[in-house]
Amino acid sequence: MLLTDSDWQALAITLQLAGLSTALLLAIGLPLAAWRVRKQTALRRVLDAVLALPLVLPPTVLGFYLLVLFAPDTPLGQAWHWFTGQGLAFSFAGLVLGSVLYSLPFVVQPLTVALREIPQSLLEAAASLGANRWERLLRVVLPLLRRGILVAGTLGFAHTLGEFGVVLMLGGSIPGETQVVSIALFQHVEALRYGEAHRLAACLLGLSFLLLLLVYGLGDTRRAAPMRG
Amino acid sequence: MRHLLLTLLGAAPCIQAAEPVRIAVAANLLPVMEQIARDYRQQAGAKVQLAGGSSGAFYEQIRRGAPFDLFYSADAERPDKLAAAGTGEASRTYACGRLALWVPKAEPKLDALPAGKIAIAQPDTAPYGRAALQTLERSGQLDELKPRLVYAQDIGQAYQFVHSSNAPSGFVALSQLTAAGTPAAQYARVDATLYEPLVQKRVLLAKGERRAAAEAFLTFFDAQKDTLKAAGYGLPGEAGCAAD
Repeated sequence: MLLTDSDWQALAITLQLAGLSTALLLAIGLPLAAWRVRKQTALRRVLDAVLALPLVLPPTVLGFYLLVLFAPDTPLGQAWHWFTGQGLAFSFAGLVLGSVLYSLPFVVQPLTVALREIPQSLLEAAASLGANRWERLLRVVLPLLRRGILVAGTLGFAHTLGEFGVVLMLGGSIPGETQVVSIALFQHVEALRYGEAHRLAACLLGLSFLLLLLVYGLGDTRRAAPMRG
Repeated sequence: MRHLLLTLLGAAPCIQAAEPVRIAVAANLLPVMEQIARDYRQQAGAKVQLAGGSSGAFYEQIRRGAPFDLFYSADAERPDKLAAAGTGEASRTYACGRLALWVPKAEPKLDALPAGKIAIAQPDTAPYGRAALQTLERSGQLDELKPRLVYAQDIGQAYQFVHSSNAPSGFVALSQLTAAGTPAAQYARVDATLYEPLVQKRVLLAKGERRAAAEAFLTFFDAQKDTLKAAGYGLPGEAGCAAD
């Protein structure tokens, strides 16, 4: 391939960021989706609205708030510094946190839809056969959710790949730490290095296309995944 | 980015019949330009619309037909290129930038930067970022400090990184600090021999009927030498700032 070393580095960072964020997103998204399906309360509606905010807010706004929140004199910044000895802004960890917030609706939404489609009767049948809560989760819910989890995970991954505004605001573009593909691409264009920009863009385009193909191969047309992003 | 938002917010309510002169302004000049635009409105009664950002991004947009009437760049190269390509004309030096080291919570000394990240603008695209890199190189600290650098997209973001105290120190434009009224004890001018002069040029882009209004503003701007000087810029013809 014709990518430069720093482009490869950016690609590696991007994939690590997307991978780690997706793992965290699924870990957080599953309980959140389960809670959304069960409880029909005012609190749930507030949570729904909060969860959907990253869909509506410009990523730069989210990034700006996060940068303010990450400052060393805020409680979050202080706690993180006490814990790791480092600042949260301009760090890979900070980007992971930003990405998780930014991509959360893209993971929670498909999971919620998949959970709603599990027939209540199956769970009741399992319960009547003596399965406890955990057995029902492991033996019935999770196997039925397999496809939903794959769709949610792929969407979360793909959405994090394409992230720009949040990273731009709080990344600091450090090669090998916070310089992701979208930022490297932007800098190529600004510095008039169109050849490099084209090659990197082609990589990202190909990767994103394959991922989306995977999503549409996994989810059938009935439960079409959200397309905004 | 913050300046850009403020500019847009400020510009939003002033929709009027005559199309105002549209000016693309390099981030370092934006605070001064806002002041000059206010004076212009008061004295000449004409309105201008400012957009702040990185010179690299503006150059790209203008090359592709973005409808700006004037472009005040942070460098000399891009206005010259636009003039050479026929997109613009009359590319002239309007000021020379001065680099400053900003350390809000300690004494600003180039050879004793506080621990933690150091914010600079992207050297590839932002002239002040290149000047900051040259400063670190010529003061023999680049190899040691490089792992601590964080790169802002433009000088406005570099300012924001330090302002939000995420970076304890950073290289910004002297003009940003004076415009913000930052206490003098927090920053130090960087010795001008440590970096290549930051020659800043502007170029006239307006064509046809928009041209007269744009030229009127150019003339007004060129007379604002005191404002530019007070803001921390070197003027063309002064030491270290060659006139065209």
